[in-house]
Amino acid sequence: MKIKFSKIEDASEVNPVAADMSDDDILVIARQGLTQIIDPELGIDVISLGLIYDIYVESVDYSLIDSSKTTIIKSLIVDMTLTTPGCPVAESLPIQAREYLSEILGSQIDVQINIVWDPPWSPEKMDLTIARAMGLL
Amino acid sequence: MTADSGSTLQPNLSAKIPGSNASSRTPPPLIPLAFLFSALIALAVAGLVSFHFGKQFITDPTSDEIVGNVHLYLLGFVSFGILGALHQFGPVITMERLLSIRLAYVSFSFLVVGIIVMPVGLISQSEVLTALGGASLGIGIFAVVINLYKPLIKGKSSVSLTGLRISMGYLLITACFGVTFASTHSSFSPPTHLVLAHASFGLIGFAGISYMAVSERLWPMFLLSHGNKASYGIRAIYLVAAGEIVLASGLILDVEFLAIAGGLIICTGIIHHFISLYGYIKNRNRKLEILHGYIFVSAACLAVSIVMAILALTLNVGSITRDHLAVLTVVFVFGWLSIALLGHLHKIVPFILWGVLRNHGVTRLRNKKPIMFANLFVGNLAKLTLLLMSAGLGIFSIGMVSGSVYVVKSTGLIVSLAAGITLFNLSITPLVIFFRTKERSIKVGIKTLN
Repeated sequence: MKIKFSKIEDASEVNPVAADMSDDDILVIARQGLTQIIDPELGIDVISLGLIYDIYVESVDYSLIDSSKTTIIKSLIVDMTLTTPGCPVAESLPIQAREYLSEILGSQIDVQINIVWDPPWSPEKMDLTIARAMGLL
Repeated sequence: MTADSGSTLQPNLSAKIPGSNASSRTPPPLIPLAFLFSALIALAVAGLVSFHFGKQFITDPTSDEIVGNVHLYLLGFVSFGILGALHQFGPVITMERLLSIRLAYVSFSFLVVGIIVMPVGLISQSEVLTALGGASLGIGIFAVVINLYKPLIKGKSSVSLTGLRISMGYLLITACFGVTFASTHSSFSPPTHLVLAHASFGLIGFAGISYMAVSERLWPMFLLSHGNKASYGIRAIYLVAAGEIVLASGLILDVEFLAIAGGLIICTGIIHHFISLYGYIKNRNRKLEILHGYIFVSAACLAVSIVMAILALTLNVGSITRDHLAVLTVVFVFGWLSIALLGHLHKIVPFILWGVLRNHGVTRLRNKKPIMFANLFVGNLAKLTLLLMSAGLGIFSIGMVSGSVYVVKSTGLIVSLAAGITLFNLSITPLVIFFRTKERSIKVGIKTLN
């Protein structure tokens, strides 16, 4: 499956790609997108670091609530942690991830990043092959 | 989806970060950077002053010139550095904002005026300038404590937060002593035991405990070491805090056994601090890097300072040698804090400037790779700084033991050079990245237009 990335020039414009995307497509794009979010201290992306605990799509069909509307609103939810509570990049990394995902998915997809601390991150969650290749371990 | 749905949808652009709105928690980067770069300038100036008054370190280490010089080192460099770090990380680790951004600027202004005026007053024997400088520093410190009070009190308790709360208390006590000494400088020459009590409050109570507290938060991140139990870290902080009370009581009341008992409790706390550090190193998941070199050398300085203190207390030597050993004790405590601080500056400043660059749209290097913290300084210059500071401390010790004025003076130049290199390394490298990237953007823009 070839995934197209599109940027919305105007917030009111419907993103045809986003509108037609299945949940699986959104998850694949999101996962790919998150590999571009690099921890600036370690030089490893957040997926390989094991900081992403869960990614899922929630859809709300507004036609069930209001028959005059036929809109289905999709939200991408990312459960993310950080290497330690109070991590200095806690200010920037989740925001960076959210902004990048919003950019590649378009404004039709509502992106939420939840910071979770349970279970706490540990180095075992890292992709050891990448960590070793990066000279981290 | 319908065509008009886009206009009705409001994308949720707020990351759900527990606590509060993350983007507004940290103060503007100018505040911590002002403290941190002022600290480096103070260190460079302090080194030059040491070069000029090097003779007094040997002949009269309690002279006003040396007192002024010591304040530049301990207040100008160490305290400004710690306060800069606290302004940045206090709100991050507690998830609470500072009380007031404006108050941060006000406190910084008072502290800068004070750290310039008071040493000038002491060195030039001007009672008015000494008193004014002391008052300005006092106001600045009270303002800082009030500003940091909110995040430190409201934040969820942890080893680091407990330590920082205690250290803020000691900072206030140090300021009270300092303001009293500065305002009565013309009429009252404080006896040595009171000066030592003042020094111990500032060095051990404030700076020492602050560093121990912050390191318990930073070491797990910088070493990727998560298996360590916090018990040694918290015990270290409590023991040093309790020991400081006993030591200072002994010094204030001039009761020797009380001071020795306090010193022993502090030593026990420091041993716990070392065990905690060992635990982090043992459980680390990262290769050793330049920061770890700074941490090891700084820990070695702390160990040497304890040995010097024990020698000063136990050796049957004359008062001059005892004074020299006391000076070396203070110098190596300064070495512990200053080398650790310089090492952490190579992490903290790039982190803050990384955010500043991102805000200016600079996210990648010329080779298109994302900017890492390590790109924002030259590693070899950081190694040179560590080498110079370590050499400086060693050379100073040789100078004090041999009584060579020129050797002691040369230390001042070495320290000044180390500070200058760090200042250059941490400020110029990000600026070069900024201008190179901007230059490339302009060139690309012109090409596109053509």
